[in-house]
Amino acid sequence: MAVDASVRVNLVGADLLGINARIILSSFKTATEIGLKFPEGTDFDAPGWRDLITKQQCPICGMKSTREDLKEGCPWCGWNYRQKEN
Amino acid sequence: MELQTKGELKMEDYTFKPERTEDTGLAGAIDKILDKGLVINADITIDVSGVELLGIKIRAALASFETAARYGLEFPSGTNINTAAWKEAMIQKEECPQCGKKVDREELLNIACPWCGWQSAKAKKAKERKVSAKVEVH
Repeated sequence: MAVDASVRVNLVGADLLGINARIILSSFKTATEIGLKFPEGTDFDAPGWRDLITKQQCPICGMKSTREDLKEGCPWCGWNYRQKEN
Repeated sequence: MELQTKGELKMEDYTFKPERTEDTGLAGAIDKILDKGLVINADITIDVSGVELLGIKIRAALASFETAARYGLEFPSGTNINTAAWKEAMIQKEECPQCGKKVDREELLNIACPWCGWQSAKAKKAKERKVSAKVEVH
């Protein structure tokens, strides 16, 4: 979610107060994809980052698995894109 | 219950049928947001009569304790990160599709849910292979 706001307070045509705000809110995953900055001191070697990059979501059950696991079929629900439809 | 479809493929063709009801209220929404983590990047400037007086840059991340530990966010100095709770937080957990309980991912994927007994397709295949191997030996 992005917010771009500009508030100006004028009195008798004179510019009294101005506030400009550019705010972005997103999930951790989207933030890494679009290049948002994380707070200083964040450890990017933590296990959560590795899983974010290596895992993909099954289109049927939505559970995440590595690409290698998904090649043989989703280990959670059994979906396999190579299955022939009945 | 309406089944999700993906072209000709139906959910009923696969090994599990979700039965739990999801928490769709405010608490559930907050729980989901904190579980995924929330990043806030903001640049705010305040000026008076065109003269910039104050500038604020915000680089913040909001997450549950578990998510914060998994993604390496910093905690206040003095926090003891060697307690059992932190080690527990580093174990990757998944929600059981049947009962919704959070369980150790490896156990849920390779064995079964310890709460409701739900088994993944991988666990079922492994069990079938063990059974057929035993039958061959006999």
